[in-house]
Amino acid sequence: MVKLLFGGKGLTPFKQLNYDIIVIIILIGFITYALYFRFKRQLFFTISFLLPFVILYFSFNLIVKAAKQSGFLGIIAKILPFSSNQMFPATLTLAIIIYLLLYIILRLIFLLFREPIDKQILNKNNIYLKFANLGMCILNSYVTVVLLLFMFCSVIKIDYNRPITSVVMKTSNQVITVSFVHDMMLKAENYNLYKEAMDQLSGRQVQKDFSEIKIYLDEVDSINNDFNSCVYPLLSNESKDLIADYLIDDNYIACLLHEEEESILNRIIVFEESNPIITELNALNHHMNEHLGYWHLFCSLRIEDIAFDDFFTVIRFVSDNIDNLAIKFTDPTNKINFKKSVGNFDFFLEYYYDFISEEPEDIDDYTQTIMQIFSDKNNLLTYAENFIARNNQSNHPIINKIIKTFKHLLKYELTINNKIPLDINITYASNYKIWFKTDNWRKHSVCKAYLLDAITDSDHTGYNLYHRYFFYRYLDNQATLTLSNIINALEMTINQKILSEAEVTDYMTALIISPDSLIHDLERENRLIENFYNDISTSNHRFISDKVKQYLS
Amino acid sequence: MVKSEKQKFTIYEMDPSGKNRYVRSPDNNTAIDVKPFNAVASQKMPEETAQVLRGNPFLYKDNRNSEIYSIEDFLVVYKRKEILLGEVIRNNNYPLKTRKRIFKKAFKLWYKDYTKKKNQTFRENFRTIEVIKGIGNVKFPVLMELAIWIMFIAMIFIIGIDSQLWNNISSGNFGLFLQTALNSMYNSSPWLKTIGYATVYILMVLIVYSLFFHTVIKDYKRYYQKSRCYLDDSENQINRDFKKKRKKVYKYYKRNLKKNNPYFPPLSIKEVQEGEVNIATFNTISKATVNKSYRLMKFEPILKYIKKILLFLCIGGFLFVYGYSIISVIIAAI
Repeated sequence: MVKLLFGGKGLTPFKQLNYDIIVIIILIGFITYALYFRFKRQLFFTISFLLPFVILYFSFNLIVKAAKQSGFLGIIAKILPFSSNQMFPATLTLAIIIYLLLYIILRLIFLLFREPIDKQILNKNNIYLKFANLGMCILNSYVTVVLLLFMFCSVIKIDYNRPITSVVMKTSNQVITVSFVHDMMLKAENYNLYKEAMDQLSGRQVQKDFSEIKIYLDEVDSINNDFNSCVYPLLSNESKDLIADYLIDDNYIACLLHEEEESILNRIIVFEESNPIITELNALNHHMNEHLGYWHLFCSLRIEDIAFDDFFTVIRFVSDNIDNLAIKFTDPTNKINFKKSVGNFDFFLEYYYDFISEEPEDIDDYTQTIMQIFSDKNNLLTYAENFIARNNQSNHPIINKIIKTFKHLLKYELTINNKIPLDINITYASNYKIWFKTDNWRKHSVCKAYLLDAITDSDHTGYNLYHRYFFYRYLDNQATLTLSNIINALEMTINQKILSEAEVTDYMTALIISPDSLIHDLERENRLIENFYNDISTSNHRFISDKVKQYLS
Repeated sequence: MVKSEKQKFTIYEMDPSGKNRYVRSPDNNTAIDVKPFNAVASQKMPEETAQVLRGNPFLYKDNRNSEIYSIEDFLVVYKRKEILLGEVIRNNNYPLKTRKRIFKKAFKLWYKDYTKKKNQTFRENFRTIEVIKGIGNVKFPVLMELAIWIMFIAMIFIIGIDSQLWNNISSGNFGLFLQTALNSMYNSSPWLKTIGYATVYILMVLIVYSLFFHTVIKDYKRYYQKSRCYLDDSENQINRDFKKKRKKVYKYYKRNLKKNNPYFPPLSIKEVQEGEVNIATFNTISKATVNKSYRLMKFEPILKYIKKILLFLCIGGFLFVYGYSIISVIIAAI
């Protein structure tokens, strides 16, 4: 019992919700009811509780079709405050409404067969009927547990590795549709973990973090140059004198940041109040306040004479000076993102030489070495085994995530498909067939609504995984992709009635615009034809929305 | 004065067409030689059957083993001797007046006995049922149940800070600040999360418990109301049935005795005995209600204590986690 409650890891319990305890509580509750209820009552309750699921499983697609045609689904979507353009909340609400209706109808029917009081007293249930009640109670408990698990999954972290919970998850099915949707949601969550683990290990994450910082540094550098060439000549002599007092090596940024009671930039703004250049100065001041941390980082790197594209030197510098730099960030979002990036740099600097056998020349060399290992299945499996053996005792959260990912990979090594990226492979390894062969998600409207929402809305939590899944399942048909390849494949999906035209347009829009889109991976892997984006800009195809053209222009 | 002569009897049997009446038998001309005073008195009947026959036909419960077909099979006392009622009222050896008197006396006795038993049962049971009316008034008030659900949702919210919901909340600056503050609070005091999860489990127990508690109390109330209604209804029905049957029996025999006709079919016991709703059933249901109330009354204090303990733990955990969180957020804001 102690092991069950505390997970056998000493007295550090309850890091995540132990759903096994909830299952036990529910089971005890239902057993109590089963012992308390008479057979007929338990039977009626079980039928009214479970039969609507079966009815919905067979008839819900037709109901959704009718609701769409009659506009009822649209009304629900309008009423729901959180659904916006998404169909999943409306479809799920419709399923709940139909379920409740069926439940009420069945309860009313069973009211007609209720035992009169004298029969209840005079006819005692025998012990066999109590056993039958217990059997029904287990069924009811299972369904309740599945429903609750679905409700909990987006509001609290659940430990899915607990024995009972993992069994419940393994038995996810389409009859109790929410269990399958829950499995879909969990896959999206797991994918993020596997992707993060693989990105951290392969150096892609630090590369991404570094390029984001570099973008800001380049922006500040360009501001410095612009100030020198465009703003400085238009300033009054008073301001120029002030700048001259503090300017070193043409570093205007450092000069403007310099503070004596007030920053130099603020003092210049006061001097230039009536000067037409004041608009630019105010914009500069606004930028400075928003990205103060990057302005300071720029100055520090300039003082240390570090080139912005020198990956290892920059991340070492940032990592060593995190306390001084982080304090300069005024915007909380920027500050948190910067700290996260530096956390990733710390991890990389601490472990990267453990991950590969030879010292890399630069980050590209490191990434290529890792990707080479990943490209060969046997090498990857050996690497995974060695990694787990070497780092099993580690407490680092990222190492733990990598270990978790590798363990999952090793568990399902036989179903690895080399044509799709490793992180997606790992995510679908446990039930590859139902996703890449039988397409079970298409069989039930609720699941379909969830997936369509996920692939067409880049803010959706499942976007990262499912728009990739959709691409690799239905669109990835050529080694080098052209716009027409993708459009033809999308047209096929319309013909097969997988997506509607509007959904295809939304998918395409998110694919091009979203920063998390797969298109960037393809670009990095050189799988897109050279003038891919030009083709999109010039294309008049109905799948290319104005939003995309606006974005590309 | 007893006449010693050979008498001819007509044989009646149940109507073969299935109607509930007696018709002349096809073997109607069969003559049976009956010797007076030896029909039952000389026979040795089992004590069990004799006990039933000494009883009250209005209280008779159908018993397959005892071969009782009519009210006339019951025993009456005449001159300190037990005789079958049928033997007395059909025997011309007794003067009509005597036969009438014996029948009236037996009938009056049975009537009194039945009324006494009935009244006693009704009075006692209704008094008991009235006394137990107050049982089962403990309950979870609606507001408390609502508060339990709100606490449950609130606890899930405060401890699930790494959830999808919080990821959405933290997209705004205030949400991000809250998430960061709570995260650092849980990092510096990991035991707080343990308290939070423990409170969630206890709240879950409390929810299941309150649902069961609610069902038990609601069922009891419904059961009490129904059994009360049933008892009221059955009292009326028993009274009505008895009145009808009593009149029918009395009139039937009075009419036939008046005619001084010994050759009339005996009235079936089914026309006399109690129906499905009878005093015994009434008693059983009443007793079952009392037993149920007694069981509930016995468990009521335990139910109350468990409720109080669970509520105390939940409210304690909830206030502690939220109090600590609010203080932490205020400190972080300062």
